[in-house]
Amino acid sequence: MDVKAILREQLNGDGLRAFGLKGCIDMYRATGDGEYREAALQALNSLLSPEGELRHTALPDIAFVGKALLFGWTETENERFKTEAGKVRDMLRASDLTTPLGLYATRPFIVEYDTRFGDKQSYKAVARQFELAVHNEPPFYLRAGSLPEDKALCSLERAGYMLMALVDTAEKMDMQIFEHYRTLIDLFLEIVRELLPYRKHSLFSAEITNADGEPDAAGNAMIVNALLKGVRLGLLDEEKYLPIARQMIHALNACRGWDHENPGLALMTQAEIQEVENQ
Amino acid sequence: MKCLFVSARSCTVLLDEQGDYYAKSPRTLRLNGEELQEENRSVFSLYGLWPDTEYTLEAFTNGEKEDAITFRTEKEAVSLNVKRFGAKGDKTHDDTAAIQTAILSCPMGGRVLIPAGDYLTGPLFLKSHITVEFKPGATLYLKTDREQFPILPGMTRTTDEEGEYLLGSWEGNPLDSFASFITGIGVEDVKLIGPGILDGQGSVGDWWVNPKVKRIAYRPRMFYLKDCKDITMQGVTVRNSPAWNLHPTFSENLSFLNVRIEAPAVSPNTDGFDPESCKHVRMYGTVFSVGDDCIALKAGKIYTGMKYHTPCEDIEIAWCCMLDGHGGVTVGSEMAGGVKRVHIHHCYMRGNDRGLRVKTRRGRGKYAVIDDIVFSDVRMEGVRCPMVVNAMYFCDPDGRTEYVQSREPQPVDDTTPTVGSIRFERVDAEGVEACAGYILGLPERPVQSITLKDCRFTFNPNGNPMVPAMAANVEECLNRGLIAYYVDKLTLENVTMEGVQGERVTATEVGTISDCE
Repeated sequence: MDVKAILREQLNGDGLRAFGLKGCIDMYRATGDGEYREAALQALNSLLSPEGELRHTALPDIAFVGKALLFGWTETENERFKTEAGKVRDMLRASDLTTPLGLYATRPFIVEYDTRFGDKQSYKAVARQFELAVHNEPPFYLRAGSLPEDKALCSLERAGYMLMALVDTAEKMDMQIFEHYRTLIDLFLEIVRELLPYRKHSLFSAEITNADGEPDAAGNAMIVNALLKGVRLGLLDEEKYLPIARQMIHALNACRGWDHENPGLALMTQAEIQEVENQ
Repeated sequence: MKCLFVSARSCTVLLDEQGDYYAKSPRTLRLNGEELQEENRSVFSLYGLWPDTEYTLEAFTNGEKEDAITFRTEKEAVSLNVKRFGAKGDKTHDDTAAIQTAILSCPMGGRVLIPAGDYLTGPLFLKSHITVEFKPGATLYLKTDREQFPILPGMTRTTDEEGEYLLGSWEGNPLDSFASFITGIGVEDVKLIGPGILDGQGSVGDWWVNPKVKRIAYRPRMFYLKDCKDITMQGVTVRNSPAWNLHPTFSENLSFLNVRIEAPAVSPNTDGFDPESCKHVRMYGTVFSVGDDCIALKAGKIYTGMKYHTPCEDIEIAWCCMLDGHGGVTVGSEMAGGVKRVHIHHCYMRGNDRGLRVKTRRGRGKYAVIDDIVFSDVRMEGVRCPMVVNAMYFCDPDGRTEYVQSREPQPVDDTTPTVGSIRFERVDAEGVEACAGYILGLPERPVQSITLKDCRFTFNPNGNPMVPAMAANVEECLNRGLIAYYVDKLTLENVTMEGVQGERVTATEVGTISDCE
């Protein structure tokens, strides 16, 4: 995967948004390469007005911007970034996005912000929201409109978002509030174990396929992302899950063009691969 | 006199059951006819005895023989001197491997001997059925570079992913912690005999800098046990810990005799003795001077409390001396598994902020039951507030919220803790400053019973006001009597309060009050 080419394609095209912004930040953390840092900060600045206020950005993308603002504040100590991150946090107080994408977009930022600024009361509610979302009936990972008994009709996208939401949120939680942290990582493992039997050969197959009937590469990439991060954070047994993740990466690489079609996701996935290699 | 403990090379004797840390009068001692030191402590230990030997110990007062006991020391299989294993004892050479090798090589019933010297060492791990003896002049210094410390992972899933294996612990949660100075995991029948010194070098390293922040892992303790039984520590001095000092967890049949625990008053979180979810624990003749609570009885935070509900129970603390420190004996705040049947007697406390301090709050859970806590024959000097029971302790991120601090009755559910019976008998407290006692229960589940019998409180006329309990809306007070909120039964029998300002008892929503002077 040529991630620099993917990055430049983004910068020369629509610019970095949401996943792209996150992917850039993840790559910087994994590699220390300043080109990713500069790209992320440039993208962030383009989202601010000349007065330093956040231009209008809709949910759920605004939450990704919130995370990027926290990154920008850490890197530059520009208080404007912190102020705008606070505004994003305020915007999300009334938000009840509980779809897998909604959870993925918002909860890691909410927990990161609250943890950094000393208010961890949200942990209980966040853990409860995840519990309800995961244990809801019908199962969250079913493709919209499917019947509950059609368990094989797995929406990899939903599964992937939920796994990434859980692991990203757990990563930002203060483990000293252990009971809520434990809820998240238990849900994470529960979903991983439930999904694994649906893996065919190296990748998950799904009802949502492209016109050629090939596996949903983006959905698989999300799952790989989450597995790698789970191994890296010690939530998953490395001996058991790293080989699975590696097989999936190998198979993904054979899916031509998936990275250019999903550039942000590609950056995020490559960052996790790099982080595991760093360890 | 009574023999409390005998090993192959030492013994611990109760000289005066009616004294506190100090005997009512000193005795002259003779061992097998040979005169020893004059002894003024109620509990004392003798070292340097010979294995499998009969001894007669006699006590004299003013030349008159008062008492005598006879005992036989245990057999000893072999004695392994750590210097023969390569330990240098020069405070420069890293003696960790040598001492650890000696421990692992020691056969059942054997002794690892650490002779006089200054030993620089990293964390050491115990093995079952051995004795480790720290001779006079032996000081072990804990290394200070955290990068060299092994880590005990907090939680590891079992291979089938159905269960968990807990090792490291930090403030009531299973979290990655550096291995402690001396650690026992699943060991039994171990004796650690003094009178040598364990020095944690807390101030030399950076353990006390940003102490609450996890840097690689949480701070090591001086002595950590997990799932152990039949462990005795006798006569060891423990000082300058990076964090808590003695921290046994999920263990039973533990004895701490004539231990000395020291940390500077400004050192962070250097609790002296924190048994957590342990049972059948006795601590006799121990001296504390530390930077936090002298003794804190614990039973985990929410996760471990609710999952394992293992209380700290059947605890006896006697003939001990608690100097300074925030609390003499504290219960909680991590007590989600419950704390029961605790008897503190014949102790001397001086200069503590609080004598008995019970801390709990809404949300600790249904297993968080504190019951049958007894203080008897305790002498306090300059203890600013002898008794505090606080069921609205403002700890944890939501500690100051309405949920925790509300004085309105909240629904009783699975998160509501319970405080049962607490008794003070024959407690003599001089120099009280804030109040004789401050009891703050929960309106929806009051403290069941507070009893003070044959107690005397004398107030310091030059004292300073103090907030007695860390909860919302608790004001400073000075020389007040017993202040109680939300208690079912409050009993005072033969309680004197000399120099109290205002009412002896100020009660709000207390069921029955009995005050017989």
